[in-house]
Amino acid sequence: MLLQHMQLGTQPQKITKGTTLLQNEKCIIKTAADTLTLPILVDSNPSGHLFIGKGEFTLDAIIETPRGAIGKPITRDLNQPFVMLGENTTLNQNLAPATTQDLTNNGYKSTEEFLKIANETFDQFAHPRHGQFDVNENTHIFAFATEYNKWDILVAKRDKMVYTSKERVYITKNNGHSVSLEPGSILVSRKGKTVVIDKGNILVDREDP
Amino acid sequence: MSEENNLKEEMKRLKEEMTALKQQLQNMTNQRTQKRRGIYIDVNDRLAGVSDYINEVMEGVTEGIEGEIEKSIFIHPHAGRVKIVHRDRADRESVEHIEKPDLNKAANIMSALGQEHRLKILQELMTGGKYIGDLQNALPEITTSTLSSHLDVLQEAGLVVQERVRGRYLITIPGRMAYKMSNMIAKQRDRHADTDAETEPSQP
Repeated sequence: MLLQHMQLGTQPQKITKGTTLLQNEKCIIKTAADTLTLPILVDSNPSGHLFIGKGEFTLDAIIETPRGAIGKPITRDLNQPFVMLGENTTLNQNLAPATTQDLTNNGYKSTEEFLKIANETFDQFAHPRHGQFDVNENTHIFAFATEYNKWDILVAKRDKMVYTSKERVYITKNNGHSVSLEPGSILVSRKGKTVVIDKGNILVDREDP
Repeated sequence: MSEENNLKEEMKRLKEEMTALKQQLQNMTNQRTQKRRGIYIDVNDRLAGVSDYINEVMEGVTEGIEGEIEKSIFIHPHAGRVKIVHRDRADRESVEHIEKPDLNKAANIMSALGQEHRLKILQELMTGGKYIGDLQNALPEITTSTLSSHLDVLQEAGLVVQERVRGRYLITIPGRMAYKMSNMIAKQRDRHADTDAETEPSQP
């Protein structure tokens, strides 16, 4: 399905209890109870959610090399809206229709106000972008709003992940292949072999010294 | 001479591969900034395309270099040219780059190393990432609260990093260097102590 064809549902929902949206060895994404959400639809079929509320994102962007570990965990509170494309059965079990009181508790005067803001936010994410996405249990795309029209993006397919933000690109596969790109620094690690370019120096390592 | 030429050719190839990688990063950045055209999100392209490309690069780089280099090398720009220096020589030459060390940072690292239990923790982590329980089993003489406190100090100094998801503790590159350095200093000290004892005149 194409991103441009996605649109938000019109019935606000709330999360009844804290829910883990994604968890693997390197990453965990949780959303807190009382977070508001709207389904993302393609031809009336649910293909994801827009969340407005609270959550937590943790990514261990650490690469183990024969010379030691490089990188650090990335953690952030999800106080800004974020998008999940993909299915999550646990989430579906923890959803309930949001009442006017739920909207008020999150700072919205009415359903119309909430829908207006939610649609504006979703338009910033979906409509400037091109691409297609197949919804299933194993593949997810998360997009975290940062500044206006800026989104950090995580693509996860089982233990394979690609994370892109303004500061870095981090790619990891479950067989230990990893790539980290930061300003002035590139690291590629595969089968215990590592290439690091860091501020003009190139280090090539192929075994534990 | 031919070996040197081969090495230079490999380095040229390595440089080209890395330029391609940088170009790819630049392209991704450009895509992000081109708001009107937007980002093309395609799971298969992102995961299979990028990672396969990286794998290909790594395959070529490592295979090409394996025949020429026994262990590892440093390359750094030198007078406008790329200079290839073997690691031991690089260590000696790098002295010129540490004329003005950050003494405060160095003192913090040395302070973190200045405790036998913390060195034991680093020693355990030299063999791979460990959970707190693994460290407790390996170091029963350290109480749990003290162990946590030591790990905090080591993390603060950048010698250890903890995974947030799995909770494992990993030794960092500076951590490995610091541990090895402390051992080297201890060995040198012992060697000199032995030499001093041998040369010391015997008492009547």
